Amino acid sequence: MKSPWFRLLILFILASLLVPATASANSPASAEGLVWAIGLQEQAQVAGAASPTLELRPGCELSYDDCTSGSPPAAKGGGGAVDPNKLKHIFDQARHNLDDVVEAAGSREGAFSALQGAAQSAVDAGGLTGRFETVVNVSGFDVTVGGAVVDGVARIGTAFR
Amino acid sequence: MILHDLTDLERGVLDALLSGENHVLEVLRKQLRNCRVRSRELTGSGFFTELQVDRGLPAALTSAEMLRIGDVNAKISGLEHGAGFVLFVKDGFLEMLEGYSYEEPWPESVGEFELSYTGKSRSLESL
Repeated sequence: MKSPWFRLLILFILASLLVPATASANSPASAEGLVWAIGLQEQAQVAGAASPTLELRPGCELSYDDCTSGSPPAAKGGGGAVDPNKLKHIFDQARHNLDDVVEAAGSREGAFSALQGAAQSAVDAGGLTGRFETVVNVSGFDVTVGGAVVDGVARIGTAFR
Repeated sequence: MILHDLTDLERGVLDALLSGENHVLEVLRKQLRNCRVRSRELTGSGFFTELQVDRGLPAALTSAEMLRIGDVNAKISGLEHGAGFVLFVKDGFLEMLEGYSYEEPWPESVGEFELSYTGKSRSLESL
């Protein structure tokens, strides 16, 4: 017959073996991690702004900070909501010939963000200041961008190809 | 079709864009003399002014089917960073003038303005 202390020792050893296995399967931390990973993946798809199905909810405006993490304007604090009038001005004008660029980018917002990022890179690389006109390549298309550098940030005036 | 007159800003910008000793610009200046406005669209970020010219006038022998001239800027009250312009010339005829701001709302009305060129000297060879 075993002593009560021996039984307690056996129970303790069994418990120490079983409890961690149970915790690793059901702990809130692990479940949250899984959800977080799925959420990150979904967020990455949205952040690319390249999905043709991406639509903005009413009242929700796409901003550089929201849609292009790490983009030059966002990094330089020039991010803000994209002016819908600017999108209309640049992309609704048939003579600008940018339909293919919008299609490749998935949306006008995505195309504008790509133009902004490319223009900022050109400004940084060329040390451009003041008004500038430069040709950037977006989604395989050469696009002429007219803009102005304000506090180091490339602000887009117009674009066409 | 009702045709309209050019605004002071449009006239000033077009005069500046077409200024210079160059045969193409000379032909386009002749078109400008009788130019009228076919339509004008304010986009909130700038404008597009469609131009109507007499197609009986000679066409400019441009280097490309579509020519764009855009080295004129303006200081305009209400636009902190000013404005830029592009003149679209197609098949040797004036077609459209575009004005745009640099991510600022275009003012509802433009009063006084001051024009300048982007570079120190204009390169007209590519026309």
